Amino acid sequence: MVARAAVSATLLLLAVTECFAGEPATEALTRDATLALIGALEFPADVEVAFEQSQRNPLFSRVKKQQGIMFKTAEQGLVMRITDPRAEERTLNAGAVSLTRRERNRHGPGTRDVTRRTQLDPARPSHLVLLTLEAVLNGDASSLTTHFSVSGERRQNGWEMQLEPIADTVREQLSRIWFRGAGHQLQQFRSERDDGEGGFSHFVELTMHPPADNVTRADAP
Amino acid sequence: MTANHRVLLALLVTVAVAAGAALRLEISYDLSAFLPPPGDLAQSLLTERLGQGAGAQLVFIALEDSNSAEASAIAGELRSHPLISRVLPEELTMSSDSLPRVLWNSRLLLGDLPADAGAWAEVLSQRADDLMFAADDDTLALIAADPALLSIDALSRFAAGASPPAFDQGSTQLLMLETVPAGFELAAQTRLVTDIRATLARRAGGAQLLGSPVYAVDLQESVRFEATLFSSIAGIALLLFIVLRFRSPQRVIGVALPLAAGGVSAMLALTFAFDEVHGITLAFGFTLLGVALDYPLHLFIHAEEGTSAGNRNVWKVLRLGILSTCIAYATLIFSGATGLQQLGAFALVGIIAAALTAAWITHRSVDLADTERSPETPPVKQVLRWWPAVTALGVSTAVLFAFPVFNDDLSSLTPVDANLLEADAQLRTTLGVADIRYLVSVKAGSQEEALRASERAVATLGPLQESGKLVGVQSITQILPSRDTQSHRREALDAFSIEDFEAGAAAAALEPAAFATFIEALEDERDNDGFATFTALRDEPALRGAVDNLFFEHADGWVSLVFLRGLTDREAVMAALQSVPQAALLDLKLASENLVADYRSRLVTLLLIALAVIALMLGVRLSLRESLWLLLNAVAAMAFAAACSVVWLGGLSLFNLIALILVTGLGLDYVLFYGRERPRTDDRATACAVLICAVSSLLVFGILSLSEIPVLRSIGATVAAGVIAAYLLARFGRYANTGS
Repeated sequence: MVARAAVSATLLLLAVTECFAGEPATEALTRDATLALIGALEFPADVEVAFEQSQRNPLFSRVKKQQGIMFKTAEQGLVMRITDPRAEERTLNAGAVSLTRRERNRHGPGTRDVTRRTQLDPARPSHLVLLTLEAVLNGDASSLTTHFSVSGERRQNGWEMQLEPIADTVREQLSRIWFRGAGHQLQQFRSERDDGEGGFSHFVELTMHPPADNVTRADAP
Repeated sequence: MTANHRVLLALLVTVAVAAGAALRLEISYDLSAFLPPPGDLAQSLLTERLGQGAGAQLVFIALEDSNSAEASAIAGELRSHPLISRVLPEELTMSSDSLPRVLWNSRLLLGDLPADAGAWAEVLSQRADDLMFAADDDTLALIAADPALLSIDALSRFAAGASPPAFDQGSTQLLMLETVPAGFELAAQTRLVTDIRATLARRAGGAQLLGSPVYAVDLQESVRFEATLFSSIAGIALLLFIVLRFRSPQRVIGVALPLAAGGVSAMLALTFAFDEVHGITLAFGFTLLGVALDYPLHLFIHAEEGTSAGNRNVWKVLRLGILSTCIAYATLIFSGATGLQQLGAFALVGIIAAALTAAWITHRSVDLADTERSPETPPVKQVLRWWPAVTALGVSTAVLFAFPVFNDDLSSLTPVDANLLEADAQLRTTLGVADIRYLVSVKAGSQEEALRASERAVATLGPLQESGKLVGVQSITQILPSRDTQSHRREALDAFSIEDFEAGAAAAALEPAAFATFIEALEDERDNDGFATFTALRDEPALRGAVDNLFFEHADGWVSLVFLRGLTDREAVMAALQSVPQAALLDLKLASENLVADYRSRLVTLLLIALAVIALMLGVRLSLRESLWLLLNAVAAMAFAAACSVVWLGGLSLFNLIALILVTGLGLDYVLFYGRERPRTDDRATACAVLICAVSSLLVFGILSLSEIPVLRSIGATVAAGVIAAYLLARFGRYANTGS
């Protein structure tokens, strides 16, 4: 509960800061500079960060939110451990996602952990979002250019990258993905549809590797 | 017509007959043709459905230095192969379009909907979590129409092997393929395995290919190679031996011709008598025909070295040998198994054709009905003649009593490397493949009764899955519930409470109005009076194979099989099934051993009947004492060969028993020649002829006994031991007879 409150407070602070920051001055980055920036950032292993994820879609009566922690290990890949409102663990690794959740036994009392694994298919918009998150957190810029046209801009208080799907079939359900950060910190990751629905992830203190100076001096805003 | 002309003409006729046989010959490989009629359901499963089911159609691929993305790409490529029905791990795509129509249309009858608001809240919260993970249009539409995921759940329980993470072993990625052709369809399996290997060869890392179809294909190659190699070596050795002995091309051709003529005549005869000739019939048929090589050898050697009086007697003796061999082989026709009937017919026709050819090319006429009695051997000498055979029989019998005589475990004859089999077994466990030894059968008088009893059996096994004694089950009832269950579920739809559903949706933060397609389908199903049927499932190409494997008509009822995955406690399953009288746990290994034991008993009985008929025939043509002496020698040679096989090979298999029939034929031949009353001047020709016959047989079968392939080695060793025993017994008997 304390952790949840802390995360919420931090996110609120970030949102308020953004609201009162005013319209930032922006400067477009070249495609190469954008890719270089993405390629230089990598979520370091064995560091835990908190995140909040929200989503809106036609079946939800309101925006649904989940909170949890995220970390990366050499063996498992990227682990997103959701703690609220219901425990669940997602592991993103080499283009596949494993989902583990506790389910009630079918034939008797008690519960057990059930894991389902899905190989992500970039032709499916929802899978492409997860593949993109995995690529961004691994600094894998080249795989992004296969599916997206990439652009970026520098802002007064950070940077923003935009990815627009190349495939028409994907674009029907996913108009763009963007992610924002400042220095080495990836702060937001968002997927959008034309009708305004989509998913949004906020990361708290997600500091990418290598150290800020190396990245910002070369290409970063 | 000169002898050379006769040989040339016989050669031309043989070639013509061979061409005729080749044109008509259709070879089959269905092993069930060699098995006796099944005694029970487990044996039926083994014989009638051989090559299909849990084990025989699975290929496993272990990709080394790989990752899931590459494994997925390779799986995608393999899915398009026309001989592959399924590649695991597979995605159960969250889309109604990807599901078989018959399952989607009857989804509300495939499982129970949540009963109250609380249960709906639980289920719908899971769906909301699913949507946080993947919320594209297909998933949204599927969940809106089937919020309890009854369709996906039924299909995933029915289709799943291991849970998908098991396929990801870090740097090694596993794939599992189900082949379209049955395990014994070797031509198709060879094409498939070759294509899979070509696909894997394009990647950088190593890959291991396992599974019964792979072993069968590789084995086919290695057996063909080794059989060709050893047959060639044996053939060349035999040819050299005959060339060295006769130093005449005409004689060499003359020796080979009866065997060749016998073989091709037998093949031609079978093409008229049977639609297909089994590959095993040909292989073992030629083995049994080996005895025909002796006919021209006896005739030529006696012609060269014997006296005219001795030569006149050769055919009399040979005739007895031919008749005895024909009787032994003819008993196979009454075996009850098509394959053995073919084998008996092949050997019988082949022996007669070989004998006639041998007679014709050596200017002899053969009167198989000649009933002239041979003169009896003087009584004093007869006493001395018994001891070698009695001693050999006594020692052999003692050995046979001291060791387990029969080996009914067919797996002991597999030439597949033990390490490979262990790796195979481990993979099957890792991937939760249905147990190939144990499965549950549910038998009832009608489809509906069988389905109802299967549901009860599956329900009783449920708790074992949660206690870890069983990973899962595959049953037809997962996608085809009984009519009773479907009716109850439809009645339960009447009790569906929209208020409970809406309360559950609200608790899960879902919009009830977005589930209009579900509510509509539910109302349609309430008004519907049709049911999901077996016929409708079979009409779905994607399901037909699995459905036919699991649910079929048998004898006067229906059988539903329940495959068990990850079985660790057989007793627990047996105990659980006690509450379902129609269900039984089948042990296919035990069934195969029983089947082989029945088969073996049948062969032993046939062998004894053959010996009795031969004894009768000899009794008619010779004196009783002489007949008994001849039989005793043949039986002693056979017992010695059996004892050697038991000691060297660890027991007699079915193949050894067939080899023993040949040993009996050879033993009778040798002892007939050595034991016959003849002029002393004919001794040299007889000794020479029998020695050459024995050496030629020993050469061929001795070389086969060096093979690495257990079946070849086993036949070779048994016949070689039998030839040695038969020759020595005949020779000792001869000294006793002549006093020399």
